[in-house]
Amino acid sequence: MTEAGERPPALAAPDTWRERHTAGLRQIRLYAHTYARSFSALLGLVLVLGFLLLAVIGPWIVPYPGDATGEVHMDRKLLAPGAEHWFGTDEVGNDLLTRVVVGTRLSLTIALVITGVASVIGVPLGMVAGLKGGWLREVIMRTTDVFLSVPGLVLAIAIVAAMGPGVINSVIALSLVWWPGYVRLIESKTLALKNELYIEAARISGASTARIVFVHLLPNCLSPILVKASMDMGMAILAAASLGFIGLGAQPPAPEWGALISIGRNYLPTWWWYVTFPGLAIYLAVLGFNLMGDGLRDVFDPRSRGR
Amino acid sequence: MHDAPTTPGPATRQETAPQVLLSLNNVAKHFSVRAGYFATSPLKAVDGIDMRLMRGDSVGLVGESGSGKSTVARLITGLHIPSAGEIHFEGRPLPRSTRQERLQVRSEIQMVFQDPHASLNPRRTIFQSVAEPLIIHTALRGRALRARVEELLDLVRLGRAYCYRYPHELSGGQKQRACIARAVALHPKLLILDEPTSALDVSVQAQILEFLRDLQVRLNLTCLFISHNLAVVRYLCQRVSVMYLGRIVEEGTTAEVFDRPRHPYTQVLLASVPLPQAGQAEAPLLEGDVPSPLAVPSGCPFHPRCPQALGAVCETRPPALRPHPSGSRVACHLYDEPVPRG
Amino acid sequence: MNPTAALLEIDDLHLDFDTFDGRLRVLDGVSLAVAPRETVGIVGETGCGKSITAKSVLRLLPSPPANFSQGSIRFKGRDLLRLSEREMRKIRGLEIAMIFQDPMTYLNPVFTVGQQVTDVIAAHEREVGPRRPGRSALRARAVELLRQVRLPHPERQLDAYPHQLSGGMRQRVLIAMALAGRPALLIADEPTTALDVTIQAQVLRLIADLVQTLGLAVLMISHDLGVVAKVCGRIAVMYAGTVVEDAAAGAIFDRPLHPYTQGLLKALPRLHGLQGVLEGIPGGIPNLLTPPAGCRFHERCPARMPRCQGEKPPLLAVEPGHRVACHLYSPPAQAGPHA
Repeated sequence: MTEAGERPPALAAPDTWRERHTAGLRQIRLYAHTYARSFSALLGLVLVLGFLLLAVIGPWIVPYPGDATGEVHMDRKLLAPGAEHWFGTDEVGNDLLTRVVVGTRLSLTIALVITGVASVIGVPLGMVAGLKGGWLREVIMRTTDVFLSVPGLVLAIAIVAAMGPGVINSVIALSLVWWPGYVRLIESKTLALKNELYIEAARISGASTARIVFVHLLPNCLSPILVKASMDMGMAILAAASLGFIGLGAQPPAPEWGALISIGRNYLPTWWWYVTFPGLAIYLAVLGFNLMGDGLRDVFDPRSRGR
Repeated sequence: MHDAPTTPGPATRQETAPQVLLSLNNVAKHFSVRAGYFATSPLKAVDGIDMRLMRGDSVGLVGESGSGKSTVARLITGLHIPSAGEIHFEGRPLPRSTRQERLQVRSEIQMVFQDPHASLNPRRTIFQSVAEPLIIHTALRGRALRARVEELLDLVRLGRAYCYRYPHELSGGQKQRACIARAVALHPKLLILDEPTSALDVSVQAQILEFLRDLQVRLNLTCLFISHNLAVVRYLCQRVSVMYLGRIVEEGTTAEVFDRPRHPYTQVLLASVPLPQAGQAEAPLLEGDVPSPLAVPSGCPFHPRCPQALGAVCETRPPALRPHPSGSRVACHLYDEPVPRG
Repeated sequence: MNPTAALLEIDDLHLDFDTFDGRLRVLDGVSLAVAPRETVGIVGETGCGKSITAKSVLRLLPSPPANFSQGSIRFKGRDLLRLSEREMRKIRGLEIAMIFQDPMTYLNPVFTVGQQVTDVIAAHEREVGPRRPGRSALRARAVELLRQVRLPHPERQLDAYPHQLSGGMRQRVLIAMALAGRPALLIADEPTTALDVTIQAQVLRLIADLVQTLGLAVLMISHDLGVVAKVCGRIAVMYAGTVVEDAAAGAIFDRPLHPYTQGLLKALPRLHGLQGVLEGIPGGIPNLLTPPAGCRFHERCPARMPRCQGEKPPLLAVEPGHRVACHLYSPPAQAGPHA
């Protein structure tokens, strides 16, 4: 890097999109390279992408589409995994592979909605609490503390029990349980950021609070949000499955993984496949998101860059 | 409560009557710090200072930790509101009464910070950072905005090629130039520079100092330099005020204050600066540490460490900043008029 | 300077760092020496390698990315680069101690000053002797050390936490901890950069006095020429990984020979007297991934010659005790092979 102390050479200002964004592109390449250095992170990425793919195109490629909605074929019931039914069949003759794959879309959608709603509520609240301080912050943080003091799943169960079982209600309940985590995260990050010199400089330039929040604070908060959201997807899948397992989530015949395990439990140990494959699906999905979140965290943490 | 206005030295006298751009009258800033569960104790960051900046002046503000110099900068830029006293800018008080006027003042008083690495948002390009004041205050967009930013980068000799780079790709000196470009984007009337070169290497610092001197003349800026580096202040400023624990203890032209310091603190401060030359005299050392602004000593705040303390009068009465025959102003009982006996 | 009498002798040290972008040639032949009871200063700007040189002496650089490709660091005759980690532990703190720039980050905020100082004393005793001394003996020694660094009310300060002390006092505590092992050499890496001017004067005076009373040798790293002028008898100027000039303090300031040293001195604003025009040094440090073949300063040098581009100037004594690495002073290039 040279110091241009004297008149700089007549270099034209970069004009093409590519020139102007060289620095950004390099940054993305650096992130990708750092991410790819970790085997577990790559594994996580593969798993997540695999499940996303299944969620999107799943219903079109399954061998027995009708089974997803619970067509009854008593002649095919409880068949062991084989050529015709890779995951076997359940007690009403539905192909388990189909049900698990269709359930992917259900589970991922539920997880996405929960994480999305939680962050949309939690992030702005956290920012307001961090920026404004004073009694507003106290109110927000103490409310958050109240929610966090009750074990999340227990609270969710209580809410769903009150509202009645079903997918929508379980999503609502879990979202209500999830948002405090984001408030905590963003509040502490905002507190740390708001004393940064560049925020002061923006204030002195006349930036309004809104501008400071959207232009300066949010982009710098994005990495912890991404990491948390990624891990949360996994946890949300697990939570939704847990609710489904105790019968408070998606109701039959919806092929939700937790519900499948709940019914399949009764068919152990002889018809082991009924429990195993949905369980494996949950395990791999949660593992994938967790590994990906871990990988993202290492990418964004400047200390572990290993330069 | 006004002191007699300082007589501007020959360097700052102008053809027309000198205009006062900024004046601080008995300004104080106290913070309440928690001490124990229920009590708060006052942190007297700034404790009654008077200052006057004329248009076109370059004035230095020096002091060590706890002197309050950074707080003064924040008071002037409006990041803090004075607990007492008044600040007047162009004759009218700060902060302004209407929101529009407040925004207007933001374009007229600007600041360059100490740490160039921290004063640029790491996720915004240089272009975005320098353009920010322009986006907030003007209607320039698109091509016109780009042209103006490129103009500014040329002015600070940064080079247009750096426009779309991120801060971490630039060196310290380049980052500081970018910050200066951002600060002068709206042609401010008053520019405050808080230790602008202390994070920079010597060779880079020399370029930036030379450039700042030149810029000040070219844009007819009024500058307030805050620094603990006395040699830099000597180079850039015509007048200087020395602060200690929230008060101004000596004030005058830089040459006079640095070559013939009158206040005991100024004397020790100057003697403590290690000079880049062989064979220096041993400096008279001060005992102990700078007392905290939470526990400012009574009377003259310097008296516990003052090698020339006079005893009771220094312990009980804070000295006022009074004119000295040399043209400087000193706040020290050593220079009090003897009380007529009778 | 009698080489056999040197306490610390760094000889043609080359250091590379393997990074994401490639191999950084950080140190390119550093040679300097510290005699017993001598204070030597290393001065330079960012990227010159002065801190890295200091850390290399104590082998504080993690060894995969850091790689010493050439050269030696001899302390009392032994090459520190060849010692095992176990042997280095007997050197760190006991023979060579180091203090750093920001005292707050080097003190654990959850332990009292007394706990941290006695910890260091006990650790050193463990290396040296078989038994850990008793608690009161440790405390007594801690008080003695704190008194030596002129910390007011040392017995009381034992129970204070670092955040209760001011910056100057914390740096004194660190100096006390450094002296706990009775080292022969103290390396100080920008010890006063984070301190106020008047406090800096106190700490520098303390270091100078400790040199007298304890017979310490000091290697002081700083970017501030004034600080090294105050404390050091010899000064080595570094640029981009090499020592470019090495002389007595008086000679460096009164008769600087290397164009970089001259440029540095011209770039300093003066506190007293008439001000000239400040001249910076145009350009920037070379890219350490692809450093120039010859003199690393030649691109910015006002006195450059064609020779400087391809040939690296050796560090030679131009006068007794005054070495310079510059072709202005090196012997003319040999025209061809000699018989």
